[in-house]
Amino acid sequence: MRRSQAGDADAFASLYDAYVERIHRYIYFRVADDEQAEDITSHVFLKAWEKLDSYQAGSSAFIAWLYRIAHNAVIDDYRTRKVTVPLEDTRPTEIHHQDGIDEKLDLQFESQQLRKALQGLTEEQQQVLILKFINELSTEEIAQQLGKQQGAIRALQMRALQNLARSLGPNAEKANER
Amino acid sequence: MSADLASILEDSLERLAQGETLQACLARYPEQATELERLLSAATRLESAAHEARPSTAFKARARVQLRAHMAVHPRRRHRALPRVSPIFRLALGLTTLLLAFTITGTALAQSALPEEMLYSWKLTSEHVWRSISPDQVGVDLALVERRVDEALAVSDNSPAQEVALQGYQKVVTDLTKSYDSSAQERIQISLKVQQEKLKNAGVKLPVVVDQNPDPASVSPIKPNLTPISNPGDRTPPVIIVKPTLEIPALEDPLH
Repeated sequence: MRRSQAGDADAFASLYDAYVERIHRYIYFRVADDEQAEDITSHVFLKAWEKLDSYQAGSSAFIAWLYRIAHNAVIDDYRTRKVTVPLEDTRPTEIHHQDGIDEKLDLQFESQQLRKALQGLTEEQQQVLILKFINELSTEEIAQQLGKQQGAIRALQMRALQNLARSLGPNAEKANER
Repeated sequence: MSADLASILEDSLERLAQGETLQACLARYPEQATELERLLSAATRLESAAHEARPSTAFKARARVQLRAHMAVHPRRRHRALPRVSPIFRLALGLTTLLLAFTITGTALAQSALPEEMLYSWKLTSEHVWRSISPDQVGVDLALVERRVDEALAVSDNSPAQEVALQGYQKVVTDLTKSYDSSAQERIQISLKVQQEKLKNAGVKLPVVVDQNPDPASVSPIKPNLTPISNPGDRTPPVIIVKPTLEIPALEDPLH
């Protein structure tokens, strides 16, 4: 971290390698399509490089700082994109493997459904569910990240899952059947 | 009810993460089982979809190249990172600075202190330090003589304080007349004469000073032609009385 802050590009590239997947996962379900998720993920690391002086090691984990940049980037992107693209019209995810193509398409459909359902939630509800179930943070870590009490996070989590289950409808039981 | 369900949901999520089955979790809370099942199912679907959010290798490589290019175009200003200072070191540094500031301020204030005042001993200590580090010790001693005379005049209404000042005066005069060679004596005599005049004009009489530890090497027989101070009509200062074998420094007028 210190080397990165001193201007060492190799050191920052190592940080990118270590955190890019987590940041992409965080962004993925909050935007309409894969391309948008990738653009914002790239932007997060460019922004982090420029703002690295403002990160104070010890005050919070570097990943928590990156999550904050990612959250702001998603909000900014949402505000600046004047034309919203319906999820049904978005480019389908590129399929790289021919094997198990049906299963892959099924997963992609499921992923799109979840995306759509998540984006119907409030900002905080989206953050809580993604940090908990996609990024696998504990309730305590989420509370620190969002600056809230753990009790408040549990309540948010419950309401978010209630809304998500309502949006998903009868398909909510689908995962358990798998 | 909601608060209870939030806690039950949290507990059930932890149990699922530890490997407990969904049915076992629901069996623990039969009253909330229906609602709980909906929530846990939604949570499970999210967890299952997490791997879909993994970026492709092609994207990671492309974004890495883009980041590298950006870093090359916008290099961060390389600066030497400041050493991390521990809180204890910072505390010590702060206390040292405070102590230094206190010493400097106290020493400055002490320079105007008079005998029997709180800061007077601080003033004398600072004069010792001054004398020990100054390259011109004669100059310092002459300045000290002047200080003692000024102090004696300033506390003329306080006999004990004046006595302290005059004893200090005589000690410096003794040092001056004993410690320096003849080349410095001319300068010393001129300066002392001025101080003597000041005391004389103010009507100050010098007390008797006894050197308790005379240096035998510097002792010489008493010269018979000294002016005694016991003459009531004579107010000629300053005569240093040394008992019984010390040489009494004669303050000759070099202008004569």
